[in-house]
Amino acid sequence: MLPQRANIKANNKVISKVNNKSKYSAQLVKGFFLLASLLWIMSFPLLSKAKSTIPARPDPPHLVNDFAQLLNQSESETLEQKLIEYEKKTSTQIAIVTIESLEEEEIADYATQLGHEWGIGQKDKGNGVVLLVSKGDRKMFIATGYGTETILTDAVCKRIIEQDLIPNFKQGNYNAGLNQAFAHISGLLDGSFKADSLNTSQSTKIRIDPLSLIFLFFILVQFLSSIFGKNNKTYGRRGGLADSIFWGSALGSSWGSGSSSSFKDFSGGGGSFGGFGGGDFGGGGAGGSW
Amino acid sequence: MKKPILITLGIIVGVIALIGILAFSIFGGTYNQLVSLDENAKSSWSQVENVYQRRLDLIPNLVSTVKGYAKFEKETLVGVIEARAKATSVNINPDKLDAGSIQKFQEAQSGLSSALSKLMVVVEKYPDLKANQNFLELQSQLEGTENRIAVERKRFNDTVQEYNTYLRKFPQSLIAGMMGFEKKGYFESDAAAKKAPTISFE
Repeated sequence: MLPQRANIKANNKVISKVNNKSKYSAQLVKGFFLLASLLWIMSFPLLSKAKSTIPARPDPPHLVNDFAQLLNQSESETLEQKLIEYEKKTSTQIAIVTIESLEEEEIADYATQLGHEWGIGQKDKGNGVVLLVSKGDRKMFIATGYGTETILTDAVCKRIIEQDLIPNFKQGNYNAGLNQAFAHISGLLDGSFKADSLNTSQSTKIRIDPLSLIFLFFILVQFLSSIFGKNNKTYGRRGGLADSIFWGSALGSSWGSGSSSSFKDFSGGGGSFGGFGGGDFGGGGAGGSW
Repeated sequence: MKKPILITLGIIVGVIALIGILAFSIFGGTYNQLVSLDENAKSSWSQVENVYQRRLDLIPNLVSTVKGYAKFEKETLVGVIEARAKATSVNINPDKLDAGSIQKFQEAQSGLSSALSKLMVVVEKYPDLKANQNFLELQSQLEGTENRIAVERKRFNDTVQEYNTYLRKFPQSLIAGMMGFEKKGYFESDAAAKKAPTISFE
């Protein structure tokens, strides 16, 4: 703040000395605009997150993510369609993820973190489920979102793993096991969650921050000075059009960048999966190995 | 020649007003940020308490199930009950989550963790109990609860770290000191709670 203040004082001194005020005031105002926008840009937080072994959220999003290729193409697509249909009907997002290896991580942590990072389930309902299978470790885990853990209790998840997944996986019937588990899970969750009519219509918030107000203030200054300077014909004309274009574009860009930072992830349409809803996971669920 | 002076004056006043607005918005922004980080830490603390409470709630059922099968393990069962009572008695004021009170909370809870892992070791001697459906369900609930505890503790530490980092930096440190915001404590990773039950020859 201090160098800025000194700068202002210096500029003010210069101005009071100079008679040709219109030229200098315009420069001062523009200098301020630059300084203010610089400060504003510097105030943006750096969006960086620690890297982990969790795979990045798939783009385009899918509910079946068979990284370990336990299913063939058509099995994977059929299962995905089932999950999408269930999501459309109930808004519940059940994600099936297979991986090659946990790379020394606990499967419970891995599955919970994956659900958390991908944001599986709707944000307000927490109705997400992750069925994670690690091929190399021969382990599986059902992680439940905050909303589903009261229905899919840990004991229920354990039962699904022991009844549906392990017997099938032991015989190499991955597709049958996953389909049975899905049928079991969706059967238990039926009636608990409903899809909102016309959901995913996000309200766009208009955020006015102090610096935008400062820009407005400068426009006011310009406007007032053009009125005060009405007798001074040359200034009145000079300040008018050129500066209003300048300020118009400055404001336009400032508001534009303010609203574009909102989170957009709903690009899909038709029969495909629309995207994860931002649900969260608290460590619930159960695992097993085959 | 009066008008140009008026304009210059207007600009000077404007500049002072601008500095005022900037200073105000920086102070206000910092204060608001401190408040919201503080609230984040408090709400993740309440999640931590929830999951520990969940574990406390499971224990009476667990004890009564085990009692039916393992009549000769009275000492272990009493140990669990006592540790539970001790853990229940520790209450932490969410407005004062400093290192000392977090440590006190953690000590009481880890006492229960080790009593529980002793119980789980003892249980291995009773095949009938291990086949009991009720016990198996309780066991998976207990495992799930330990996972939840790990998750919520980590999230609490993350929010506290964010809060502490923000708090200790300049110029927030000045405003935080003025407004009475204090550094919060972390959960230390304790060996007893993380390790799988191991057999001890005591």
